[in-house]
Amino acid sequence: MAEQRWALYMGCVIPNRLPFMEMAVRETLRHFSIPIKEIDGFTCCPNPLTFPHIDHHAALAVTARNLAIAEEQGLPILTPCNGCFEMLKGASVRLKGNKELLGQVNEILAKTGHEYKGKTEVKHFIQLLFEDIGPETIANQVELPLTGLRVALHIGCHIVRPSHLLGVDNGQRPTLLYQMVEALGARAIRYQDEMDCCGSGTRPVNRDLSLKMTGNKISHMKQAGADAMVVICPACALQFDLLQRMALRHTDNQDPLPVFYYPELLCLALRTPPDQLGLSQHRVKVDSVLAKITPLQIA
Amino acid sequence: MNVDKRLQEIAEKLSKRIDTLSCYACGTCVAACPISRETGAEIYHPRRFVRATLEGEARQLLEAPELWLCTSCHACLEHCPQKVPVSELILELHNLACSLGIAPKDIATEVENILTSGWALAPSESVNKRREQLGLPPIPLKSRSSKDLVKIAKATELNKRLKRIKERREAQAAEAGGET
Ligand code: SF4
Ligand code: SF4
Repeated sequence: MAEQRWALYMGCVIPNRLPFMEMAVRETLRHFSIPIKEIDGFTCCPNPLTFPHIDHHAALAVTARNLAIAEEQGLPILTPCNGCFEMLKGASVRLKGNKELLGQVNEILAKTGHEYKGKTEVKHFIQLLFEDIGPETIANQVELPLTGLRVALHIGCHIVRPSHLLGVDNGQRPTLLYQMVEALGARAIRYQDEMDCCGSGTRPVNRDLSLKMTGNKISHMKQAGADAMVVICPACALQFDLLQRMALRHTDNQDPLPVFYYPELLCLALRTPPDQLGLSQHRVKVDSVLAKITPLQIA
Repeated sequence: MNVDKRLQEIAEKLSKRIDTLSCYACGTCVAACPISRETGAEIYHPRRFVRATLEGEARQLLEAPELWLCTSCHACLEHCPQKVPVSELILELHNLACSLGIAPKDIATEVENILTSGWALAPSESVNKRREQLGLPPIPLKSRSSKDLVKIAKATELNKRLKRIKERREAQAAEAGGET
C-alpha cells in the first residue's frame, strides 16, 4: 500500500447515526495499513441537499474552509460519504481551475482566519480501495469468499454525478461497485432503476415521495433476485436501512432486504467477526446473509 | 440581490450555450428524472424550468412548490445531450427563491442547525452510547468550529436569506392564524 497519509473526513451521518459503518471503515484502514490523521476543526461539508440550495456561494466557502484545514496539514482528504465527497471534490475542482472564484472565496474565508490555496486533493473511500488497492489485490486477500450471495448495487448519485467534476466513473453506467462486489466472490446484481436516487434528497420536502422511491428500488432489487444490497454512502444507508420498514409500506412487498455498506462486506470477506463490526446495530436484520456466507463459523 | 436581473443573466448565459429549439423538442432530462417518473411529468418536469428561464418567465416559478421536489441527483445534467446543467439551474432558482424568503421549512431549519452545531446531524448522548458499545470514542456534543460558519453566514447573503425565510414564514402563520 502506498505510504500516502490521509486526513480522514468522516462527515456527520456515519459517526452520529451509523457508528457501525465507522467500525468497518476503521477495520478496512487497519487491514490495508492505510495511514490516516484525524484533524480537529472540520465542519459540515455542508450537506449538498440543503445548504447550497439556500446559498451556494456560502456553501462553497464552508467547503473551502474544510479544504483549507487539510491543506494547512499538507494532507489530501479521504471521505467515506458520497455527499461529503461531492461537496469537497466538486469545490476542489471548481477552485483549482478558477482564480477569480478562489479570490472571492478567500475574501470570505479571511473572516475565519483561513486561506485556501487550491491544493487539496480529495478521494472517496471506495475510490481509494478501487484505484490504490484494486479489485484484483482485494480478491487475492479474500479469506471467506461471499460465494452465492446475490448483492444488488446502489452506488448512489453523489460519487459519480456530475461526472465532469467528480470524475470517478461513468455517470450513467458506472462499473466500479460491480467490480468491487464481484472481487469478494459475491454476485453483483443489476436492476432496472439501479442508477436512480435512494430518495433522501427529497425527504425534507416530501417524505412520502422520498420513501416511495426507496421502496420501489428495494422491490426491484428483490425482483432481480437479490439476497442483500450494498451502498457506499451513509445517506443511502440511512434511507435503505433505518427507513426501510416505512419505505416498504409504499410497496406490495414487505419482505426485508439487508443493507450493507461496502466496507462491511469487505471486512466479512476478510473474516472480521460480525460482532466486532457491530452488525447487530443494523435496523434490518442481517442474519439471513450471515447464515449464507459464514456457515462454518455459525456451525 | 436583484432577482430579475440575475434571472436575465442566467437566461442569457444559457441561451448562448444551447440550441433552444432542439431543447424544446428533446425531454431527455424528463425521462432521466426519477421525480418526474414518480409524480408524472405533468407535476414535475425539469425541462419546463429550463424553458421558463430561457423565455424570461422563471419569476413565477420561484413561488412554485414543485420546484423544491428536486432530489439533486444530477441525472438530468448527466443525460442532457447539450450538457445543459439542469440541476445547477434548479439550484440557482432555489437560491433566488430564498432571497425572496421562499424555502421549505425543514431545509432552512437544517441550515440553521449547521450554523449552530457545525454539522447537519449533531452528536447525541444516545449515539455516544451506541459508539461505546462498539468501542468507539464519544463525540463531543459541541463543535468549536461552528463560530467560523456563523462568520461565513454573515459575510455572505446566507444570514439575510435565513432571516427573510423566517419573516415570511411568520407572516404566513400570522395570516393563517388571523383567518381562523
Ligand atoms: S435534456 Fe437538455 S436539451 Fe433535452 S430537454 Fe432537457 S435540458 Fe433540454
Ligand atoms: S437533479 Fe432534480 S431535476 Fe435533475 S434528474 Fe434529479 S431530481 Fe430530476
